[in-house]
Amino acid sequence: MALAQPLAPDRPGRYGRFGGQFVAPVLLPVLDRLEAAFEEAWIDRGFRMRLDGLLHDFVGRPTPLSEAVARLLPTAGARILLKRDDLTFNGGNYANSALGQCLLAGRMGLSCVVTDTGSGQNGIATAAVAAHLGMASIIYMGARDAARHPGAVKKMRAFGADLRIVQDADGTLHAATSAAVRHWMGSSDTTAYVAGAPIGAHPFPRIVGAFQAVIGSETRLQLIAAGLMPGAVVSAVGGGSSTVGIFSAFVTDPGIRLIAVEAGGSGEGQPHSARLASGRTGILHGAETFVLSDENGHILPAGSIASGLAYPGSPPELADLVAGGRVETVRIMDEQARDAVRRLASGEGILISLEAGHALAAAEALAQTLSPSQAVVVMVPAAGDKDLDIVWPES
Amino acid sequence: MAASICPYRSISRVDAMFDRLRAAGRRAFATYAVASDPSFEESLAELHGFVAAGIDLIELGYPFSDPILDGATIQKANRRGMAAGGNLARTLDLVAAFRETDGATPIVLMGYANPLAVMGYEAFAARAAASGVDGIIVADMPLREAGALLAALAMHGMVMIPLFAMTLEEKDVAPRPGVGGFLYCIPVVGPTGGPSATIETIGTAVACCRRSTTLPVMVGFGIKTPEAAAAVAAIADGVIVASALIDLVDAEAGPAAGVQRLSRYSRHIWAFRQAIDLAPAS
Repeated sequence: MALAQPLAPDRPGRYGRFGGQFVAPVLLPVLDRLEAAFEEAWIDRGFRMRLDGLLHDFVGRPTPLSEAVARLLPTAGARILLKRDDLTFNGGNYANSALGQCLLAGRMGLSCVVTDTGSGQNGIATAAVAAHLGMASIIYMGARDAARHPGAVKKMRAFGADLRIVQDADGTLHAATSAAVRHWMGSSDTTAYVAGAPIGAHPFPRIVGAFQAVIGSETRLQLIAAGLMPGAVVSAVGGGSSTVGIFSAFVTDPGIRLIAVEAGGSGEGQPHSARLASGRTGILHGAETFVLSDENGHILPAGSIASGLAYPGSPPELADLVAGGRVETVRIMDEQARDAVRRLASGEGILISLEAGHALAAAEALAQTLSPSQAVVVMVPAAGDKDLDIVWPES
Repeated sequence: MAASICPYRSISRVDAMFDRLRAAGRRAFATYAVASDPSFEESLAELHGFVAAGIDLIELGYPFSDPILDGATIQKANRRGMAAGGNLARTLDLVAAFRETDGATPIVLMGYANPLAVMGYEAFAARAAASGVDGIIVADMPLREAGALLAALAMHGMVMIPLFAMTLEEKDVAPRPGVGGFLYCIPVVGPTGGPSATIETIGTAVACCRRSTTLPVMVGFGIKTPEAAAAVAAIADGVIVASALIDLVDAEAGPAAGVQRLSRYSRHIWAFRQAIDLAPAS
């Protein structure tokens, strides 16, 4: 997507009017060094070969593009294909960018990484990669998210991570991100910040987008091999790592609709996470982008049954694509997502996360308006084990 | 400030303050409070109390939900300010109320970019100037992102006070229109209320500032005791004590609000003031 565009030198890291580097000045040299190190690594054949080798051996790529046989809904129209990043070894699609950024940190001579996690996926991915590469990892997680995902907490600790639970604010990803960035500010000479999503100050959107683009390029090859031209690619947006990753290979195909699914929350008047469709332009966590904020500029709590979608900011690249009309947005409620996860599990034997359930629910609705000769690709960023107690509280 | 840009004010309150102090051989002492913490009225009384106790310049935080570059002390103060209905617009009201009886003490707003972006830079600058604000420090808006805000500030006779870190390159500290007041020298890395730098490190940082600016240099972040303040006053044009002063006041037992809180503040401010004034001039 915008990766190929030259960036204006006086406004680093801009995607249209979005992006930028809204950080404490003390971090600017750190960001400049990171940008230089990344650009150098990205064109280094040795680095790319090591990355690709580990993506294959340690992450488990390529992940399959598998068809959800048309039993989902009685009136199913178009075929539904699932891009199965739930099948990576650890942390779903977060493994892609965690691996890339940890390799980059090692190349820069840093021995420790710090990150934040919502539903635990980015934390698990980072902890696993850090352990594999012999690095220390520090992971911040909101208290409410930690309580909802005890399995993820145990897994991160099993990988030797120093897990720190954050009580601040609403106890979700938003608070965890703030805490991780504060930690990094005080220790950037030894510690790299691993961005879970293509959000924040430049060059993080660029770096995460580049490492996640593997999802899109795999999907494109798999579609070509199957002789399919999809009518749409559908992905749920939390931090946006999988969405930016899968959209990247299709942005320049005007015939393929790109649909970003946002969490509508539990109901009218309750917190939601639909900042692409109804947020304000604002500045959060280092970038100018669409933000959930009130008329005074206070950040509003984001809500969703899927922890990974409850984030008040958005990737600047995606904000630009939405503002420019290339990406459409759809809102899916908690109950619709839960229902989609249940039906896919009982009907197909595939357990996807609630985040992916949002995308599937939107894709099913879209598929009904299309013909059976058409196909809709659904991004599945993670498996649903973490959500078992939320989707089936009665069992 | 050039008269052609701001016909109403030939010299800013910040510049006038440094002129006055320099003539008297003294260094500036600034502190910080979050507006509306714990309420609008108490906040107003506190600002006047600061001046009476010996503060030269006030940094007034406009409450924000997500003060990412602040430590626990100022995070809590922001939450109390928000709980009392505080926000950027109310903070401007507070400055206007303060100006009814104090036309001289410089007030510099300090906070984050999002409330400014949501209000709009031009609307903000116009309202802030009308309220009697002298300048602004924006923790998450480095000069390379501040073009639109700087233009609006310059138009209304205000300045942005730049944050200085030793590691910054020339391109990130070069003087430009809309920047002025003083240079806020931060000798440590990490959020507010964190560890202190050694006096040697602070000396190096101040010297580094002096090479890149002709503005007065004030040092903040990590200055926790009157002794430390005195040591800094010996090498800089001023000292900023924020989290440490709030912590000292909050650490004492007894009612935390109203007159008692103010008298505690006065006592601690006085101790810092004495130490700063007794420091040998550089």
